[in-house]
Amino acid sequence: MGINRRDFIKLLAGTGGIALFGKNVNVWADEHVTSLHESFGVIVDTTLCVGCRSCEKACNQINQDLPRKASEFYKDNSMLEKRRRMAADSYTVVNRYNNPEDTNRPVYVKFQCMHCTDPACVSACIVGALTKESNGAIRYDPWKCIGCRYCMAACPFQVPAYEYNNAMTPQVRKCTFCFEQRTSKGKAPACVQACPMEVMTFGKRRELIKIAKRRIEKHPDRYIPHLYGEHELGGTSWMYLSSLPFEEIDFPNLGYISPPSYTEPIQHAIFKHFIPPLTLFAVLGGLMWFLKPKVVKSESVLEEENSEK
Amino acid sequence: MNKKLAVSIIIIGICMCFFFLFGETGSIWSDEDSAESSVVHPILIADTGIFKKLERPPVKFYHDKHTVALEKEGCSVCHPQDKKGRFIFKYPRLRDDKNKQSLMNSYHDNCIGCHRERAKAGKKAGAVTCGECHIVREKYKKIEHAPIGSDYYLPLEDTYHRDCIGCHKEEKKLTKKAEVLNWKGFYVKKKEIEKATWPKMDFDYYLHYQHEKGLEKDCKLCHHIYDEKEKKLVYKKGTESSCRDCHREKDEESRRSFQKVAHADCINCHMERSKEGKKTGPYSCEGCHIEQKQRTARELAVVPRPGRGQPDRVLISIKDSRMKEVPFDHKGHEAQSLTCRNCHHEKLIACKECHTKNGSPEGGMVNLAKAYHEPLSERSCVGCHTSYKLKPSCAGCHHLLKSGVTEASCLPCHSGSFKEVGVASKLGNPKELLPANMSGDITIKIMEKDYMPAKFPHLRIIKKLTEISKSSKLAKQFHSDQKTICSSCHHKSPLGAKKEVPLCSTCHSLNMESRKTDTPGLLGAYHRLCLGCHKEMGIKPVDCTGCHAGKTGLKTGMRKQ
Repeated sequence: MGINRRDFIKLLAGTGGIALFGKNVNVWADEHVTSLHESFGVIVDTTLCVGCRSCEKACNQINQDLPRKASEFYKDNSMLEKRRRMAADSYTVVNRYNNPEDTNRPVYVKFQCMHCTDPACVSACIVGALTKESNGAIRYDPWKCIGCRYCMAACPFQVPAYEYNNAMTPQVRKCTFCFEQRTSKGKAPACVQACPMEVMTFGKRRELIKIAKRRIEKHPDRYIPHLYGEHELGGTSWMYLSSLPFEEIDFPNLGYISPPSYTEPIQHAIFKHFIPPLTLFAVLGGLMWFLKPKVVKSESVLEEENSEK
Repeated sequence: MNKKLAVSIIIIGICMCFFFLFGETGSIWSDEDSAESSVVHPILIADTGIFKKLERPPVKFYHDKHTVALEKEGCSVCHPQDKKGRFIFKYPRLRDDKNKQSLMNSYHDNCIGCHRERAKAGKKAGAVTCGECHIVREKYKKIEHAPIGSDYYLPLEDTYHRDCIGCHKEEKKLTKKAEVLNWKGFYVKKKEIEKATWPKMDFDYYLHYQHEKGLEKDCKLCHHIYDEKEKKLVYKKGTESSCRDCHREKDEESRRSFQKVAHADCINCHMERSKEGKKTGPYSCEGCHIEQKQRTARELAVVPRPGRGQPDRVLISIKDSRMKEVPFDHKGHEAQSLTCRNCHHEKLIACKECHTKNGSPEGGMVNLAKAYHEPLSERSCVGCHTSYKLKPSCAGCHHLLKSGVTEASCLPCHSGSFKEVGVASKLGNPKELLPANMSGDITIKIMEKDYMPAKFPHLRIIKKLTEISKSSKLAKQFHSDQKTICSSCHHKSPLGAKKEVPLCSTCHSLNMESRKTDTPGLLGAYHRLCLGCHKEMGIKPVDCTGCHAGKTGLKTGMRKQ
């Protein structure tokens, strides 16, 4: 035969995956569209931010399990010199970017978990420690977490941080959308509440998209006509408006398709109800049985065996 | 042994020869090169139109240095003359641009030939070898293609660099340690050839007046038109316009480009007058092209107006127009511009000649209404007025207001007669704007938990805005009544002097929960308005404690709902 065992398995697995793939994509999309509209979200208007870091302070205060920081820490703006990222002790950071149009007016951008509508971290978590709530928040359950840090690898924005310095009870740390304290009761997150410039607008995601588009229409000179997060990676709960191109403020162009909608149909197709693997092994077993060389023991062999005894 | 020595000496000698001949030593001009920062501008001889790709860097040619050195000999050493003895400013004199080779030869023969001759005669001379002239190195413009988030990017942990780090483990003779390598330097760079930029020469009202005075108002010395019938240049009074009207950016048929005309006519005239011993202008490069501060409109306002029969003021009336006529102060607007071209393009004729009511090809299909009202144009009335609103003193309020044409901005211009133009400001005493029982300062304490109350100097702000409005001619015209002062903050409110207006919190609520409209909350409204204005106008404070002192010793917390 021109086909060997290895090739045969590859072929079988491939055809099985492809057969179930196309159908599953549609199911995926339908499931997620409804949840996308009813969830809460936030628009961050980076053109308004003055870099006072009140949001960082409010975040530190409301999340009691974070290490306490003195209020002087939030008055010291020298840390804006360096580009920072979310860490185990800070769920949100404000960064400063040069404005090429007017060097006297830098652009400040607040970062935190984007709370994707179709989150890659939740999809990657093998124990279900991360869950997407109906109000938009992505929650983390430290009791379920086994510390594999797949979520950190999966996140397209590199948001989750890990407590590497905590040897005994390390946790994955990321913005909670103030789920326990505020958003589950319909209140705005602490950072949104604290912002003196009201850079952030909290509301139903559906309404926010309308608000943002109206704002772009009203001030075409102030914004680039793009709402980052409306469609990026299948949509995110936190969305951004900017005067600079998003690549310049460290928002990568990640396309409109969410990572799980690539990976999960394949994964689910291969293991759907465990039928494909069982079928595969059944077929293989059948083949083995069918192709088993029928050994007709010749007399000489029998004689040898007998003599050995 | 001797043979070896001789061979090595010969080799070194040959190397030296090559070095001096072809090496980019630039020994002669090197001193001047270092002093380049003080405005000495070279002409870059490249002729890329004919040469296409250059084999050697373009030649940096310092024209003024040659004018000084050849002062006795005169311009004719390099430039050809026409029948009247006027110079034609092209180089080389015997330019042969049939092909690349011939053009290159004509440059080399003229330049090097002259330098050699002068050197033989014992005079100061320039370079004769290749590298001495072709010394402009291509400047590289760096464009980094560093990875996203480049500030916290760790090149040593990037798997793409695994192979690099394999060799750059230790410091060796030629390899550096991976930690000290300039990783960012490896990302792509784009090169860009250096360009010589000369400061622009602006022929403003002042220079025009100087010429008028010096030439005793003999306009025909510069201004002319082309007579189609007689096929020659004639002067006709009242047709004067900008040179650029006919002489465009590039040569067209029989018309030379503006650059050529300006150089040939200006320099020739200046030289002739200087020979005759009359007072005249400069004829060296840096005489005109110097980096001087551009004269401002205010400085030019004292210069007598150029007279071309333009009206002092004119009532702009359009036939069949549905709007009232616009009284236009032409003289006043002249004092606000640097040249006539600021409004009139190159032709000095009325707007409606080209911009017809429905648009015509002569007017670039821009109709008359657009020509006056286009907010993005620098020449239109509205566009120019809008640009004034960007000044710090105006931008404080105007950055919040809708720009361009609004309902309220029609009447200040379309008043129909001259009666109301130029009257004193309609803004009265600032105190009269406040309701009787209101004090000059307002205390705002919505952030009581974290900060001390903020004092808002209401009256002082009204006074300042009134003062600014009174100081500007434009504001006097458009800030038509006292309510204008109030309206930038108290927007969408019914206004009136001595009348109480709705509070900010009427619309901007303190409640910050789930939003359905884009109306900011009270906190945002206050901060955006105050800080926005302070930033635009360049006023302090712009930090937190400048307005409301922080509370110390108290546990700070989130704002109370």
